[in-house]
Amino acid sequence: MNNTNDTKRACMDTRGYTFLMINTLISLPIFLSPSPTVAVSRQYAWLSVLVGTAQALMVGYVVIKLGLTYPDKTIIEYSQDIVGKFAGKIVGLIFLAVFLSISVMALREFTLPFQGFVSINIPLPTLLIMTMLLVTYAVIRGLKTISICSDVIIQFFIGFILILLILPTKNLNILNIKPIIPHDWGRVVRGSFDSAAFLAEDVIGLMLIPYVSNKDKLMKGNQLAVLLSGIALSAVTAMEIVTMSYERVDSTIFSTFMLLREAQFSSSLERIESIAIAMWGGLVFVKLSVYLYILADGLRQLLGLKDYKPIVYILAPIITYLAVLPRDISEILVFPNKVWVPIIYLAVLIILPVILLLISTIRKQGEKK
Amino acid sequence: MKRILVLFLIISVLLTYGCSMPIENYNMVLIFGIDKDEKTGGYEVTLQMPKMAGGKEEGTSLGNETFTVSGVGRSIELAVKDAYVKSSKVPFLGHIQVVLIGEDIGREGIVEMADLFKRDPKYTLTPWLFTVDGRAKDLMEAKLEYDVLPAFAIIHTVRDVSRYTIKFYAVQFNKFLEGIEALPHATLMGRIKLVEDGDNKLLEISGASIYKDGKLVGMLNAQDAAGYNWLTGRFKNADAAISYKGQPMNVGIEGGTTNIWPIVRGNTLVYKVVTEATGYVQWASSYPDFESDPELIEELNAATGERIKKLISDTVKDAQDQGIDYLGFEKILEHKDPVLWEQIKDDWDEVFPNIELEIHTDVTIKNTGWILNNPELY
Repeated sequence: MNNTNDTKRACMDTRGYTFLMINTLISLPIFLSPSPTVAVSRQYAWLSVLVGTAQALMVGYVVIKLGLTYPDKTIIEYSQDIVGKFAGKIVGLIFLAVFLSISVMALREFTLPFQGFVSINIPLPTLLIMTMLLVTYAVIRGLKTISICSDVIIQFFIGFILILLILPTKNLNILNIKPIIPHDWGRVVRGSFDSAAFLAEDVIGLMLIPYVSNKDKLMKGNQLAVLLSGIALSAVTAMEIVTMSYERVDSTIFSTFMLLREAQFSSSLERIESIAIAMWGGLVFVKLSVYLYILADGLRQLLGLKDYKPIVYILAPIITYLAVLPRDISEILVFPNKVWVPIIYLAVLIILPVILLLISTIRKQGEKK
Repeated sequence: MKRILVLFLIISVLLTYGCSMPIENYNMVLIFGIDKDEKTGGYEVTLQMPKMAGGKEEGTSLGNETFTVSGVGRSIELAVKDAYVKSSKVPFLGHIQVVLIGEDIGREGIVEMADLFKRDPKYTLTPWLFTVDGRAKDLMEAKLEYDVLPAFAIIHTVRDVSRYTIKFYAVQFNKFLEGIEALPHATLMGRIKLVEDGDNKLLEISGASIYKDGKLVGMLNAQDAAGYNWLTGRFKNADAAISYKGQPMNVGIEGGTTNIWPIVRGNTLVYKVVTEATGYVQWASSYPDFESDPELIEELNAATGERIKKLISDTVKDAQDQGIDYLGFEKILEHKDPVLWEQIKDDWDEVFPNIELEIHTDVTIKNTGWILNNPELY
């Protein structure tokens, strides 16, 4: 098995990359995104997700275009080629800070349903430490191991989406989602930024591209991942609106768990939210592993070290400690609502890659001339 | 390092795996009743649980008898915890089948109960909800003449008996929440009462109860509930009792739909109701001759349509007279004409009583049962 201590060693193909990307993009928003989207777009939230998907596809195009300009390097390395050594290191640090913040928040959010629905008595630090131990183990084994885990979890995820779309059908009320054609497109667009910000996380491709073997199909694979994630998210959002009404989706934190909590496919098949808990565990585990890996690998490149593993051992307790800091759910939700969507999405996921791509294109054309 | 990690994970699994408590330590709550505690002014919660069967399966399978425990408290959760200490085992609230709301607590409001059931995952969100005429506890402690548990008797009525009559309305908790949380915050709930038939005590599910902003504000009788079911398209297997040429007749309804559109005519908001139904002659007192008079069925179609029209218009008029939109007309406007709704939503309480109704019925009697014409017996 490849341990990928070396960034130049490809350890997954485009299919593996696509699955890994779907896993990373869909894991949190499938559970968390419908409620804030519905709060803005009301019954049109499913359309907002599709508009958000279109935005994420544009971000994905820029990301892969930029990444393929330097196919054997990560953003940490080639940002120094594009904007110079010092500014490049600043750019690298910005990306790493974003990856760190996502790791911390994803880890803390990961524990929410476990504390709320399953084992209220398990102390928060215990949950965080046990999760981080598992994630650390996967990251130490390497990117290939994470990719294999993702391959397995995606198979279950397909079944999970079918469950979400079939089991609650008894509660359907088509009136809830009408009118299909929105009377207020402004509302649809305003509500699209939340899902777009989640789906534009394929910016991590800037760290993963060197590890993909057949890069000629990478653009297709990446955009397919964004598109499928967006369609799945839109379908689940529509299902929640049509079965629960947008008012109820708006007032629920984990509306997808609620969808299954209320689903009664037959008189004996009910209270099936435990399926969602299991799926949440698998999906977020892979997301956390990917982020810890790219964070450690990025730091290794920034510091000029040979091995990323010692960095993992240092980062894991730091992330765990930071994840304990938010005191309550209100503080946990501050980051996605006040920082991630309005600031990071625009500045780091859109503007920064576009600027880097523009400069690199101009430079390359200048070099040719 | 690897060995230490593996050892740690194995020990963690051994220490944390499995249920926190075996199932035989729980008592499955089937009916959850709430009343106002007359002494303290707080809540009185009554839990009905089945006695476990004896024999080999002792402790793990349901018997045919029930027992009830009650608790009181300033909040519903405190009352539930008070009931806990009187139960031999921990009451399990995750599979409650029926929630009964006493009339007194219904009038005070059930917002706290709705919030508790939504917020706390130990409660289920799919029990059937009923307002009791009187106190829930009295109904739950009555000795009933059933061969099954009362909770399942209620569910059989809701699921199976509803296939034969539309004279009651029943709703599950999650759909009721949709009704009171979505505009216009008024909706219907089931209605149940204890009736005495000689020495026997029986449960009667009939009519419906009206909730506005989480408070019980009125009751519907069986006729009004039937009208509501016609209006909302829940009329499969309904009966339409008509009078044809002075003779009583019954038309059985096999199925159909009701569609409602809000339209603006001049300065008036008009709700156009179109009900399409198919049916059959269920019973006739005069043996009409369908074989030699093909127009007869057309006349019966029209007479049945008129009957449906009257049921619907009476129900809508009652709602308008009360000024409570439990029919969901505002929600229909919001979703079918959102532009107009945005303009008048703040004045809905004034708009609703003045809505005009335009009802169209299209009934098709497809067959006449096993009898076609007069056998000339009389």
